[in-house]
Amino acid sequence: MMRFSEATGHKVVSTATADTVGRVAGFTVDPQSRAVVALELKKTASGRVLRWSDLLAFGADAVTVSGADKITEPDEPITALTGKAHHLVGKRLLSSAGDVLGKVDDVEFDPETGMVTSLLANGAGLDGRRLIGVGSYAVVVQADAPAQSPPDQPRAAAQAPAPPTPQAQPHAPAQAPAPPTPPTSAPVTQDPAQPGSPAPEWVANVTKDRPGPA
Amino acid sequence: MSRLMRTSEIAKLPVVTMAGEDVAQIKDIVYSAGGGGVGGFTLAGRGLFAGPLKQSLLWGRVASLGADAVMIQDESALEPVQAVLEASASTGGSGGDVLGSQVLTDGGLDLGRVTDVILELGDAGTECDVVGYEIEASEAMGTKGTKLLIPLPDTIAASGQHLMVPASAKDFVGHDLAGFGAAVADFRAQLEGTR
Repeated sequence: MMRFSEATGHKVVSTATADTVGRVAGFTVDPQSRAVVALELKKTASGRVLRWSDLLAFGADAVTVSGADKITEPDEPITALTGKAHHLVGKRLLSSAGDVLGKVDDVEFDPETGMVTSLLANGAGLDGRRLIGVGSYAVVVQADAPAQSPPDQPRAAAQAPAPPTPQAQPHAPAQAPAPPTPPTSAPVTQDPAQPGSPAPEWVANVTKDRPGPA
Repeated sequence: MSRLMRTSEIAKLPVVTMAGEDVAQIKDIVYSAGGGGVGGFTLAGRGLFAGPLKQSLLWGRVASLGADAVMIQDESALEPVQAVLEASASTGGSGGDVLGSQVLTDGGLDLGRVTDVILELGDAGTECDVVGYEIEASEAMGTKGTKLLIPLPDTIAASGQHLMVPASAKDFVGHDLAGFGAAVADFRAQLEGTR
């Protein structure tokens, strides 16, 4: 796996001419497919974008491309995904439950496929499959707790059975074990408390045997 | 599983779509069901000098309410302001703002003034009920001036001036939210038993 921090600055070399035709300046990620769909380049003769599907290989030291003609101006779908609003690194990380988890420090991706494998924040990695959206305010990821996802959210129901790393949520409230069978998502057992983080004072374990709704 | 939250923590929270855009911030909470539940929120724009928006957010359209943001699926969850006001009025919404009201027991005892409202959020944000108030205690509570938490029965009577609570509420007063959830459950169980 490679990280955005390592890959930024990579040379882009044409295999036809053996010339350097540009340098990697940024990454365009599509939150729907959770993959890098294009590279933003600088120092090119013409064009600013290299689509992932147009590159030959993303190696440890350079990106290879069959010819400089593969570098183009961004088209509409790519433009919609590009720009500061869509950069991940340095952005606030927000869970779908509405809790800030930290800031995205780096992003790990598979150089073979372009898939985002991990979002790194607070020294820990969140499974890249939890990525829901990238916007000007925050990067939104699926929260740990299955009970938080609304029934019609397409990605929520298919979360991996093995729970992703829980330690990446220092701000998440400590939660009591889930009641029988939440309506959506895999039956993931939740960590009742994050080690080392104090439970916020407003957390209470309220049992549900109240009288019926008014 | 549910959690407790103060309404003072909710005002000014950003409203964020699942795509990561902050489209508004919470302005006021609109209550429903005679003051026992949350019908929705009125919204203000983001930014230093932004005023109220002509849009509101019904509780049913909230995907999740967390410590740092109110999440919605996308901007289509927002509706004209009238929607939230009408929805609340139709369920007997308590018109007045309860903050600053005097809390009176049905025995005529003044317990204090309301300084905050405590909400209980259910699973997946399906319910959001008012379960109690934070009050600044009067002399009758023996600890004048301190902040106490009073649990609420399912229905209460509230005007802009007074909040009526059963006299037994006095015995289930809490001092912090950690134990308050249990106090609410006990208080309601006790009311059920005497009905």
